[in-house]
Amino acid sequence: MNETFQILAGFLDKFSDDVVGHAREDIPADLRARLRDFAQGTLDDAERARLCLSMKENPQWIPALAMEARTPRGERDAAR
Amino acid sequence: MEPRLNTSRSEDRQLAEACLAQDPVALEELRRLHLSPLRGILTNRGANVTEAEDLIGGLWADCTVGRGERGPLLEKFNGKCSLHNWLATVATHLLYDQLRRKKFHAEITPRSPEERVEEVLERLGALMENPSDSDLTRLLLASLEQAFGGCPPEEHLMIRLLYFHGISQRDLCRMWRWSEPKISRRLKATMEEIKQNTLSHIAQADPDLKLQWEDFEELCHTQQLAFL
Repeated sequence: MNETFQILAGFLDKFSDDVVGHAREDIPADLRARLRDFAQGTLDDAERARLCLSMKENPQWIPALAMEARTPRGERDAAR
Repeated sequence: MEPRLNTSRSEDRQLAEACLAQDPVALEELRRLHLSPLRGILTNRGANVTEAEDLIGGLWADCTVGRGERGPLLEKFNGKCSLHNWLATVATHLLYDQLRRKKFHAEITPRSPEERVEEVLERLGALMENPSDSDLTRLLLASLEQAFGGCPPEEHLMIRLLYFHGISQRDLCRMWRWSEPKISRRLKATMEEIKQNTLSHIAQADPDLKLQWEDFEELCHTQQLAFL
């Protein structure tokens, strides 16, 4: 399944204009705080679902969430 | 994706180079191992026997001999995928173009096999000029975008984070407070929906083109690695 997803993602990445969101600076402070909460796993189910819907409608916010979610390398290595 | 034939990519590149050098043994191997099997692939994907023969005839005529300012087709083969998959991808683009022409120009003037192969060569030239903008590329892309856009919001975001932004599944577990098996199950179910929706979109867009999921995946893979 992983390989299939990677193939599809690679195809979209190469040929589609609008799949990969691009980071933008103008994310409101309250949204950035919610993204941080989401990344840390502290949103409740309903709030997380609402935010997922917003992210689907506003994919330009996804890179900011990804930045918040990315585990620091040292911490990730220690967990292996 | 594994090549369907038991030949390595370096062997494929050597074969292509030998064919371009007009080695008769290599040319026979190309015809026997790589071009003849396209007949079954093309008929499975919607060609009738005559169309498949014409397309193979066009590819055979173009593989090692350039036309005008255009070099031979095999010069475009970069060895990043198997020669088999590469030729099948080129042939499928030509097939889809053929199916669309047939749909929009219903009356077909009887033509000789030579004239039909000549027409394939003309269409191959047009494909090589702008492969990223071919009708088939647009269909694959539209079908996949539509299926991807139809994913539920949470799974849609998981897929983007995992496969477009390099976030690990362990990170997703933390964010959703779900176990890894639960995340895996949701992703697996979403993949099945993407497959069904993609193929359904293709079938609706053009019922004459017959693609299985393995075909679709192979076309996407070959196209991003090595298409023309």
